[in-house]
Formats: sequence, structure tokens, C-alpha cells
Amino acid sequence: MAFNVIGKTVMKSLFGKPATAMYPVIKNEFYPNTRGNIEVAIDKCNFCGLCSRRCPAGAIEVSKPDKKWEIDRTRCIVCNFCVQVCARDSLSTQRHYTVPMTDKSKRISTSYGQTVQEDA
Amino acid sequence: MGERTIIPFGPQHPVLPEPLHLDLILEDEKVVGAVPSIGFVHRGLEKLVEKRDFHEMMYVIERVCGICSFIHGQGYVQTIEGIFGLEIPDRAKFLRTIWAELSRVHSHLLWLGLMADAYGFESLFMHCWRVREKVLDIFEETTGGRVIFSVCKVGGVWKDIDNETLKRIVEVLNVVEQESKALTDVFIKDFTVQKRTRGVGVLSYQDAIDVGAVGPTLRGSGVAMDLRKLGYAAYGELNFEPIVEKDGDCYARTIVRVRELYQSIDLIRQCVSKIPDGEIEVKVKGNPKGEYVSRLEQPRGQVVYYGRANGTKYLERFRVRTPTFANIPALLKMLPGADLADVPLLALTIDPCISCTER
Amino acid sequence: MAEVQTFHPVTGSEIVNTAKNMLKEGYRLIQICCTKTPTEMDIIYTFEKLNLQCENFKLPVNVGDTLPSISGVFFAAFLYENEIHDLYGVNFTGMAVDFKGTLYETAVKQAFSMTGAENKE
Ligand code: SF4
Ligand code: SF4
Repeated sequence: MAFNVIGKTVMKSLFGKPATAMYPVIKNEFYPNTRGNIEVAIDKCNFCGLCSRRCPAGAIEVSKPDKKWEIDRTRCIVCNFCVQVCARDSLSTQRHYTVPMTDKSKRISTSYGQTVQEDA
Repeated sequence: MGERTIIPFGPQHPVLPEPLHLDLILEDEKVVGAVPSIGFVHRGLEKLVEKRDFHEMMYVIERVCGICSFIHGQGYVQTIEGIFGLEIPDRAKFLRTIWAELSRVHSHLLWLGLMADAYGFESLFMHCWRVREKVLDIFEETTGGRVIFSVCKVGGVWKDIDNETLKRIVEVLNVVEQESKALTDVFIKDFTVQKRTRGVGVLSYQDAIDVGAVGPTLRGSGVAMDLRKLGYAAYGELNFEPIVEKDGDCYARTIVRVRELYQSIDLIRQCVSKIPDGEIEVKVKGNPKGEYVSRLEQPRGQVVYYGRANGTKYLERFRVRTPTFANIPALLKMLPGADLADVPLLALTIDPCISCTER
Repeated sequence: MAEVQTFHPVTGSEIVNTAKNMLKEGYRLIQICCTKTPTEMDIIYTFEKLNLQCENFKLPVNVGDTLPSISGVFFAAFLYENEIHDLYGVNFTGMAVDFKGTLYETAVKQAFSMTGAENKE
């Protein structure tokens, strides 16, 4: 049995740099792999609806007639599955997270396709 | 002989913020019996398997637990691969092993922190979690998530780690090992800590087997049983022995976890030196049909999965038997004879993860 | 990995003796799992030895059946049996600790005894 085994660690924290990051001043660096926001490149999408069928959380809604691609950010669990199933590579995971929201109505973000795709 | 009193323990923050409830039957200060109750946050995730196809379900099963999330995912895909009779590429096996062992490192550091917190060593708790942060950063760098990795898939893994990153992981782990040494010495050597843990809540060798204890709780009582010895994933090619302590008290269970922390770091080193190049996934065709029981070792102990499929893309049943579920009877065996003040400590030494248990 | 797993059939009246035999041979209980599919329903008992060898037994049941509890042989069984009682509505007699249906208080009684087909979103 011994006393004061943590002495060295205590000294280090007393005189060393703080272990935490100075958050608002220094922003956290994300890694290239970080899974953040799901974004859609709407002009590549052909509204096949595969992503919405495969999403385990049911966060995506796709409507072919309206050319609408819609995601509920608060339902999405950022599992990356939609990105992997999309055959046209139109989805991607961003490196930053969804920004916190105070208003529930902002949770859905909708994109409309502009160009008419080959035979809708 | 004193009068008998019943004291409710939990479910509001019993010792860690999870809803475990015990009705403690006390005689003066001594516990003579306990009745557990769980089920405060039962989620019924197992049932969801009938509505999500078997690829999607992987992401749901991962969310059973926020600490051993990777191993839940791994267990799920192993069960499905077992039903398919699928053999995955060696590199995928090693990658899974590396992530699983990293999970163990971070889980044990987390537990050591909680343990320190339970007997009032608040700054030790923070130091443990400071070290753990490095491991979480590795996760974020390699998988994209700090807690939920989503890298397993039926037939392999989604992401590869290139060999340079693997080398860097080992370097980070060297630092983690060095820094944890300074902290774990406190758990092993400190006088006050030993006062709290030695001889408290003894679970004898025979009792540990009879009540079906698993994981470090079992090994702390001298039973050399470690599911990794089954040789699933890449464990068959690694060199290790189950870590066993004889005493069966809180101290022994702590030491088992401390030593497993270093063992895991060593296993990752072995993996990195042995990992072969090659594919990381095989194509999966068709739907599973059949049933399969798979067993894995989680940081908290053995976990059992059972899956049954009927040839459609939806499974009929997927069951998760989590380690805490098996350790609750062990906790009931430990409690009689303990002081009321030691109950939080005892509840913590089985490393309860109620969110797993209430899958 | 892909070893073949067998599920030995067993009936309700034999289960306690089977459990006793397994105990004698040095096995311990690691899980009891109930499965309900649209066509069949059964309970799987998994036993495991210290050398990691494992045996499965399959017991066909129906909702509302009464089975003898094996918690007299393996203490740990009581949690699984209470769970099955609460979620599937199979009754057990002689459980070491009987929660009388309060282990999981679900909004729908015996929530797991409905299968996916009957319980669509
Ligand atoms: S994002 Fe991809 S998967 Fe989803 S509808 Fe568009 S093309 Fe189809
Ligand atoms: S990341 Fe996962 S949860 Fe989110 S929208 Fe894509 S599939 Fe759905």
C-alpha cells in the first residue's frame, strides 16, 4: 500500500496546460471521416427513393412527381447508410454537424430538383 | 438482531445515471437481501427486427448500447454471417478486432473513472476520462463517429484503415498506456482505495459459476473464462490468456479491468503487426434462412445473440442477451452481508449498463 | 466460424430434469430466449460449459401455456423467465423471484407475442 501515488499527475495538471480545448475561441477540427450532416446534390438525384426506403430511421422523404427530396434532421441518426446505397452518388456526409435548433419547424430541410430528369 | 427495513435504491441516479432499482432489505446497517427491478426504459428494439431489413437492422442494433456499440454491431453481423455460413476476408476480421479492442480500452477507462467517482475521487474520474478522449479521437478519425461507428456490415466492414493510420494508432496507444499507468496505480496501490474495495462484496468461485456471472465479474472470482478464446474474428490468431484474479472482491474486479486495459492495448499491437492486406468485404447475395446463436466477449462480459431468419429480408427474431442481464443475479449474491454504504460500489463493480439490458 | 448448431428438442415436462442433467455435467445457463413467428413459438435454452462448449434446447410452447421454472436449478433463470412471462405471456410456476408481470410494464400487455404481420405500422 502506498500514499500519494497520484502526486505526479496532480503536479502535471497544476503546472501544465489545460486538458480541455478553449472551445468558442478554438474550434474543434473534424476529421475527413467524420460523419456530420447529410447533404444532397439535388441535380444528380433522380428521385428513385432508394435512400428513403433503406433509411433505418425513416428520415428521408422522396417524391418523384414533385421532384422533392426531404430530410428530417432530428430523425436522422447519421448512420451513413443512405450515402452508401445511393446509386447516383448524390448524397454525401458533411464534416460539420447539424446546427442545434430552437425551433422545431426548422428540422426539415427540403430540396427541389430544378432540371427535368430523363423521363420522370 | 435489528429490525428489518427496506430501502429503495435507485432508479434515480443510483450510482451512475442509469435506471437500476434495488429494494434493499436491511438489518441495521447490513444488507440481508435485495430485489432488483429493471424495465424502466425498456425499448423493445429486438422487435424492430421485423420491420427493418437485415442490412438496416445493423444500425439499430448498434444503438442498443452507447459504450459497446461496436461489439453489438459485430455480434449482429456475425449472427447473420453465421446463418449465411459466410466467411469474411481476413483483413475485415482484423479490423473488427482492432475496433472491438479499442472499445474495450475506452469502456474500461470509462468504468475506472466511474469507479473513482463512486468513492469520491472526482479528479481521478476526470483524469481517466481525459485519457479516454484520445481513444474516442481514434474512433472519430477511423470510423467517423465517436460513439456509434456504423462500420460493420454483413460480409465485412465499410471502411478500411490504412497501414499508416494503424501505426499512428499504436503510437497514440503507447501514450494512452503511459498515462493510464499513472492513474491505474491509484486503483492498485492507494491506501484509501484499498480500504474501500478489499474484502468487500466477495463472490466465491462456485457462486460466480452458479449464478451465471460473466466477464470481469466472473474472472475476478478466479474463473478463467473469456469468450474471445472461441477465436471469433481474429482472436484465434492472437496470443493472449484470460485475466484472472482469485479474491472475488471489488478490488479483484477492479484489477481484472485494469489488467484487461493493458491486455487490449497489447492485442491491438499484435493485430497491427499481423494484419494482412486484402479485401475488406464479400458480396452478400440473397436473404438469410436459418437460426444461429453467437457469443462474444464485451467489455462487460459475455453477450449472446440469437437470430432466426425465414428467407425473407426481414428476420423473424433477433435476441440480445446482454452481460448486465446475466450479472444482476451475481449482484444479488454479492449484496447480502455488505454495508449499506458499500452498495453503490458493489452495484458498480458488475459494470452495469442498463441501457443495454433494456434493449 | 460457421459451425453447425443443433437445437435439441425438449418438452415442458422434461425441462427441469434436462436442466439438472446439464448442471451435473458442468454446464451453466447463459440464456433463455422466446421466439414467436407467425407459424410457431418456442423457447430456446442455451447452456454453456466452462470450456465454452455450448448446447441449445428448443421447447415448443404457446401463448398462455404454463411451464415449470428452472430457477430452482439455475438461479439466474428467474430474470429470463419473468421477461418471457411479461413479453410473451408464457406462465412459469415456481420462479425464485416472481415479479408477477411487473418486470417490464409495457403499454400493450405481452407486447412481443404479436408478430410483425399482425402488428403493422
Ligand atoms: S438521393 Fe440517391 S437514392 Fe435518394 S432518391 Fe436521389 S438518387 Fe435515389
Ligand atoms: S444517415 Fe442514416 S438515418 Fe440519416 S438519412 Fe441517411 S440512412 Fe437515414
